[in-house]
Amino acid sequence: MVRYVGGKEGSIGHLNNTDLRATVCPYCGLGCGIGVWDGSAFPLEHHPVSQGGLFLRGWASAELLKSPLRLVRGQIRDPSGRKQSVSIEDGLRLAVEKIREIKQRYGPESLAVLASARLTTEEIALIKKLADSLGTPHRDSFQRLGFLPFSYHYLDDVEAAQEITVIATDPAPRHPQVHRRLVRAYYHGCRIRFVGCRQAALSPLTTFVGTPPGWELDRVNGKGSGLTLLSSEVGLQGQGARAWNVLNRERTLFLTDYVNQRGLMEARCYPTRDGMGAFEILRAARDGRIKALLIFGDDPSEFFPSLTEEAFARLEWSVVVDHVQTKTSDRAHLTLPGSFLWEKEGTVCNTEGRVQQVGPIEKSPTGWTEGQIALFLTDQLGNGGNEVTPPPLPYSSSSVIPDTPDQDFPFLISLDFSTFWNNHIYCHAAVSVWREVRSEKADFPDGYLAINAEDAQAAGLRPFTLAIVESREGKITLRVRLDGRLGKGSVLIPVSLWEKVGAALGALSVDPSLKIPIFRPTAVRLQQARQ
Amino acid sequence: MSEATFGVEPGELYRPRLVRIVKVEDEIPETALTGPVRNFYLERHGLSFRPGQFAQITVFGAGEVPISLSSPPSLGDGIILSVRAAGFVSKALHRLKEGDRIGFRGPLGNGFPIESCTGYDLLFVAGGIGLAPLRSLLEEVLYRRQQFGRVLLLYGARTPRDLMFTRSIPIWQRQGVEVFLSVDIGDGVWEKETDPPRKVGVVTTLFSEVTLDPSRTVAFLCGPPIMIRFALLGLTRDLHIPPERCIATLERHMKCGVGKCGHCIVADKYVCVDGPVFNYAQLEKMASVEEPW
Amino acid sequence: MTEQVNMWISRTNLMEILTRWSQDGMLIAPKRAGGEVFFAPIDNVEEICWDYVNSLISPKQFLLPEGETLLSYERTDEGEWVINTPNLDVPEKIVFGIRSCDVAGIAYLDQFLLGRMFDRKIPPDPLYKRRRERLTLISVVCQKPGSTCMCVCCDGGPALKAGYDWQLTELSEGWLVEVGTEKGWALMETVKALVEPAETEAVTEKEERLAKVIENFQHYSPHHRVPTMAASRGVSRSLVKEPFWDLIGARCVECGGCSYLCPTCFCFNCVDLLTDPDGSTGQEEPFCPLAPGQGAGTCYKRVRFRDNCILEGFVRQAGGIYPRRNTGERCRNRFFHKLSWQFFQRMHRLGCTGCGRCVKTCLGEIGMSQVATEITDALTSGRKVALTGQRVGKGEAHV
Repeated sequence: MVRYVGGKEGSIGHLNNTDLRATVCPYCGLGCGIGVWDGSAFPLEHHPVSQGGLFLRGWASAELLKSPLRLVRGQIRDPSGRKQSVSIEDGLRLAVEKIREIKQRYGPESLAVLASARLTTEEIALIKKLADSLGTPHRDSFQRLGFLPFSYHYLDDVEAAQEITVIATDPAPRHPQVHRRLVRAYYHGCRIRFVGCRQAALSPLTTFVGTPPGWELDRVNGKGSGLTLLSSEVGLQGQGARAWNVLNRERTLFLTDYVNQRGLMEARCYPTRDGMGAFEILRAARDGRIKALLIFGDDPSEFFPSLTEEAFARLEWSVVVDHVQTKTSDRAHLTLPGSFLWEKEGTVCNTEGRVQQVGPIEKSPTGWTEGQIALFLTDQLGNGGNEVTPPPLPYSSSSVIPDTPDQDFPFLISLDFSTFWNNHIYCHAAVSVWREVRSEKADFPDGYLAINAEDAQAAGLRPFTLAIVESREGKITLRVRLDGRLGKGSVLIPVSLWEKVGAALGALSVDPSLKIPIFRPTAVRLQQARQ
Repeated sequence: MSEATFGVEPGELYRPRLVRIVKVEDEIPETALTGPVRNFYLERHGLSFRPGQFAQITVFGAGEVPISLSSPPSLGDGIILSVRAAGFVSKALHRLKEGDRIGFRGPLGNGFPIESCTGYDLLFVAGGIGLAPLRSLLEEVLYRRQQFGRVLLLYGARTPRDLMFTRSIPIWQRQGVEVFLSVDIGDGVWEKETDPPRKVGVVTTLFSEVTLDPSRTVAFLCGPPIMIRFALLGLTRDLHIPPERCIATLERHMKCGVGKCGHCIVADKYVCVDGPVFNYAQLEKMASVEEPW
Repeated sequence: MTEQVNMWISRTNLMEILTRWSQDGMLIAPKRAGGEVFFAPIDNVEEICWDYVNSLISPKQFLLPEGETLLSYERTDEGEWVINTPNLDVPEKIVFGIRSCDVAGIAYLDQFLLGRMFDRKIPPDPLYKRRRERLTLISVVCQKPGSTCMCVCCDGGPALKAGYDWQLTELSEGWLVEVGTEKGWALMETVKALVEPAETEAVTEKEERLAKVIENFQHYSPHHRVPTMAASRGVSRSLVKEPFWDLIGARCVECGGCSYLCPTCFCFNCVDLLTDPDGSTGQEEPFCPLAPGQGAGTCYKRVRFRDNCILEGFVRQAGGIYPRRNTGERCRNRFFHKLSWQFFQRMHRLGCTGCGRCVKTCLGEIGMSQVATEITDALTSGRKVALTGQRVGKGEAHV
């Protein structure tokens, strides 16, 4: 069942099994309508977002229902690392016991909760309530990424706009339905401008303004009349507060990355002024200040594998509730299976602020949802604290200043979002999508350094050979990949190398305005490595 | 060709037969840029095939890939596959040992038109691992040496270490094959030797070394796409061999091998059924739509 | 009774026939829910939707279902592999209400998957063949074409000459039934008490109605055959060059929707999936096969998934070789396959039947009719943009 409100209202009711069963695509933040028919997914023709179209990920989303990566049993890990099956009820009882013990011994501030933007808003609210009742200010999600609370615009507004500026993002792979609206706007005679270090797919048809990474906002006349589109890239380069100050808030649309990223914010599941953000929580766990971590559907090891490993080695107790097996759930003391979005009832909120109510189209294999688990824990552990409402983002107006390239360090390095398939674990769990994602990994198993062909030639770098990337703070060796769309003077690394390269080059830091980890665009120089 | 000799039972189009690996032999060691090449000797079970045909090989637990047969049909009761560990399945194949079983579906494809070449001089041009499918034809020709005129082999590889079948080359020479070798990058030692005659450079530089009568020559090519492209140009333009008698094999990643999955389309041809062996005239027609190499 | 005689059914008798089939559990017909039209098994003929253009989901899905098992293999305790092929037993089904464009699409699939298009005999796809034999196609001629429909331009409708088992046309009084196959006649035998031979007036009325339908096409008419044919000529003779395809490729996001919905697309990908005891299947993590000698009792399934030539991974060869590296080249391949004379000669028709689904689903507005129009424009506008090797600048891009 799908019911959608805002813009166009309508609904597609409950249908029986041989029919088309309507639900919402679980991937990016646009929330396309999907009809599951004979075990595979098809777009809904009369849904205001999908309008008969889906991206590859959505087309393959029915594979998630019976993916081998589904978690269907509770697992408990003994000190030697061996895993044993445990029933959900026993697991929950144990979790309650452990958390109560840790809270008594170290106080509520030693607990932290991470939620997920793949859950329904109601569930996230329950998880936030759990954190409140445990008395801990530390609750957040890595899936908040660089979220910025810009005003609501509908995709129809994009289609009808006369002037659009797209900052630092390429909607073609990241938000394909936005790409579609841009193409339509283009046919209506809209002036479209892409600002960034890498050309978007549509750039050949439109205007492209090349800038070094992190400096996009300098090239934007924020107070203009046109519509501005941006996504997490801006926040993750430390420009969150700046974007908030510079851009015309009424004319800006933020494109969310996860199906319910906006719901995560609306349920207020982000840190209070005293609370730590997700990245700081993980660091505190590594340093022994956080003793117990409850994770609902979040996957810190997607971005920070080493830090997650260190943190989990130090944690006294960790619970991961998720419906897919992740590197994080493998490390937890206790893993409990949740349910997939299509197996529960609730609402999700897309990038436009459109709330969609979804109902179960499949039976949950365990009968437990993440929300029910959070509710159970709140009942058992509650009454430690009052409800806390965090202030709206951003917390401060100071931005991180990116490097300026100079004679010695002529390139700026940043993250490559063109190969960032958000919701990575879902991509992994669906065979058809994974083939497309993995060709990247098959060609460059250890990651890559994307560089413009001319720059590569000037630096004496040949494709597939190793290059030494050196910043003022350190260096790292990466394999060269030529990228025809990348502008001169910029080099990019895949998001999966965020932690590794960021740490080596001193580019990994925290943006206090949004309380998120960032990759600060850093000046580097390149040289050929001895093969 | 009838359904029975198509290599698979009509009702069980996708079912491989179980075949045992009799012997595994290292051919080229691993390098920084390329994976190792090994020869896999398989049981044959009386299977008949033509040089240039391929088979879909299943590595159980990994998947199925097309691999060309590199032994001559006249060779006793075995089939040899020469495989580079490049992809997911071929790497898995390299983990198998003597006695393990693989799935074999084939032979598939059209194969070289060997019957129509009797009486001609044969020129083989191979690059890198492209010698594997040509070896099947070359050795088949040696089994029927009297039916053909001169046999020449021009073989090029990236480095001396990448040259395949170095143990067989002297044997071929003794059987009357005129062999010329080339490498893109020499190692300082290899260039010093003179037998067989050799050059540092791409394989097309060997064309100036040979003299032949274009009116009675058929050329067979296999190798990386860029080599095929330039070699075909050289053969027709410099050596004046008519395009119909320049015959090359194409490589595509087929999923079915039997003209169903659509993965191997090049222009309007299905490489698995219409090919993989095409002559230059056909290839040029395809190239007017999209480059097959 | 195989001579070409047209039959006639009254409205009530047609409902009677449909009721019988639905009671036998054989009937599949269009249904509507929340604006969406789709084919589904019908228990009660009241559920049938009569007022529809076409379903977004192509009926080819009945013949090429997603995730079909080609074979399975299992490791025994002795460490040997046992291969099993599925013994596919599908029930007889009758699809009522399929449109002509989809009938033409299935005829196209038959030509290819049953191995008829090659100059030597190729065995048919066994799974497709089995399903095809058990499927009866009862097409209903469209009388109200949709906004993206273009079957008149590519021999895909509104009515066909062959390919269907029955072709129904609604007339003022009842239904004209044209029977196209032996199977259709056999089916007719089973309901002969409810049908009667058609009067000549009925055939005349059908012709009149068809002429009216063709007039009613919203954007396309038989005159638009010209762009289709011009586009066909353009791709067949490579008159449209890379810069044109670059601009098509710039709009393509590689979603795959066009071929997932296309009634003539058949490409598939095979994947060997580990089969869990509790029925979930999937590829092994992290894409690493079992080391030989391990895992007795493990079972794998070789499953075919729908695939499409727009995706980068479609053409990838081992070691990272991509014969068609950029989206433009892949788009060219797709449109060549659909429109070219070369394939026309092999398949005896265009690869497009004009259903317009790709136009509805495309995220880059590069559906078949849109690209055909752009090719025609490029070929006729006199601007050399698409025809020369020059790259197109801003502003001229729509050419």
